[in-house]
Amino acid sequence: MSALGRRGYTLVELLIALVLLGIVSGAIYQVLVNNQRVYQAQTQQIDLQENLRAATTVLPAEFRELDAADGDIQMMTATAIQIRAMRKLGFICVAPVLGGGVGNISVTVRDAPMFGRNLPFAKGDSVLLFWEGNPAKRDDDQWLPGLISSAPAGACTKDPNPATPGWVLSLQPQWLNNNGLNIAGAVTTGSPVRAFEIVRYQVYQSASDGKWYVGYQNISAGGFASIQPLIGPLTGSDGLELDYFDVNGAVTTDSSKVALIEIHLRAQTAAPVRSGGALGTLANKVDSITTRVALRNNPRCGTGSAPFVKC
Amino acid sequence: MRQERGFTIVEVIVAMLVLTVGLLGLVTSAALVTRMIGRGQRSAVAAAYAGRRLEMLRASACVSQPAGSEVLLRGGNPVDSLTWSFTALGNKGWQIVVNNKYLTALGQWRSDVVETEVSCLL
Repeated sequence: MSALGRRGYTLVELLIALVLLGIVSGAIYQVLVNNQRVYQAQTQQIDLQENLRAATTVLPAEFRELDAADGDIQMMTATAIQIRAMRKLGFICVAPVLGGGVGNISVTVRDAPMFGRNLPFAKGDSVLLFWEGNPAKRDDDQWLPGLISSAPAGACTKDPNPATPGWVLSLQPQWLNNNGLNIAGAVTTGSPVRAFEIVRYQVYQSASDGKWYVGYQNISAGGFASIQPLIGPLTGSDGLELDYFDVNGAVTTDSSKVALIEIHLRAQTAAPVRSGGALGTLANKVDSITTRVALRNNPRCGTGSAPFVKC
Repeated sequence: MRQERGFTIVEVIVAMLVLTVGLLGLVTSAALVTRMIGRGQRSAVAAAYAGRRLEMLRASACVSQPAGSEVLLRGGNPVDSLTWSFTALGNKGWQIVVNNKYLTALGQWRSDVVETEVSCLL
C-alpha cells in the first residue's frame, strides 16, 4: 500500500464530527444543568417539609403535657407563648416535714425511676410538687411550684437497708406565702415531682440573616437566655399563628381556660427556587401546616375544671 | 463476502419486540410507583386532617359527645369527608371513632378509621 492509500479523515469529515460532538455535548450539558436545578429545588423542598414536620412534632409535644388551670401557660398571644415545659418526672421517697416553721424545705426524690431528661437536679431548677392535702379528698389536690436552692445526691433514708440513691432537694416553695398549705402530712411519700423549664416560643426576626423564625428561649435559667431559631425560615411575622380554644371549642383569651391550641405554620424555603423550567421565575416556595393539640393535663374535676365538676 | 452477514430483518424485529415488552414493563411499574406515591401523600394529608378533628373531639369529650360530620373542600370540590361518633364504654370512658373517606385519585375514594379512647373518670 502506498503512503497515499493510507488516507486519514478529510477536513469535511472532521468538521462534521466536531459539529456532532458539539451538539451531543451541548445536549448532555443541558441535561446536567437541569438535573442540578431540579436537585437543588428538591433539596429546598425537602428542607421545608422537614421544617414543618419538626414543628408539628416539637410544639405539640411541649403543649400536650400542659395543665392550663394550674398556670402552666404564663403568657399567650397569636405569635408567642410562654409555658412551663415539662422535662422530668420523679417520685418522693422522703416527704418534706410540714406544719412547722418556714425556711428551706427538704424533700428527697428517688433516683430511679426517673422519666424524661437524663440530667441531675441542679440549683435553679424549677419543680412542681404534688400537694395531696387531705388524702381522703380529691378536690384539694394541686401542684405547687418550687425553686431548687441545692440538690446534692443523697439516699432515700426511709428505705429499708440498703437505702437506694436519691436527690435531696432543698426547695423554696411558694406555699410559704400561703401558710394555709403548710399542713403536716400534706405532701406524701410516693407523690410525683415534675421538673420544668419556663420557655417561650415566639416569632422573631433574626438579626443575622433578616429572616423570620420560630424562636426558642429558655427563661428559667436565671433570666432570659438568648433566643434560638428552632423552625424556619417563615414567610414573615405572621408565619406562626397560635389560636386558643376552651373546652367548648370557643376562642379564649384566659390562659387558665385553654383546652386546645391550634398551631398554624407558614414556612418558606431558605433559598429561592426556580420553578417551571430554566426560564421559570425564581421565588421562595411556601408551604403551610395546621395542627391542633388538646392539653392532656387539664383537671377534669375540682378547682380549675371547666365546666366546674365536683370530685 | 457472503458469509459476513449481519442480522436478518426478522431477527431485528424479534429483538425489538422483546426489548419493547421489557421497556413497557418498566414504564408500567414506574407509573404504578408514581400513583402509589400520590396515594400515600393524600393518605398523609387525610390522616393529618382526621387527627386535627380528633384533637378537638378529645378536648371537649368530657363535656359533650355529639356525633357529627364535616367535609373538606379543595377548589370547591369535596376531597375528604369525616363522620365521627362517641360510644360510651362505661365508667365515664368514651370511645371516639372518626371515619375518614378521602379522594386518592380522580373518582377513587378510600376509607380509613381513626379511633381513640378518652377517660373522664373524676
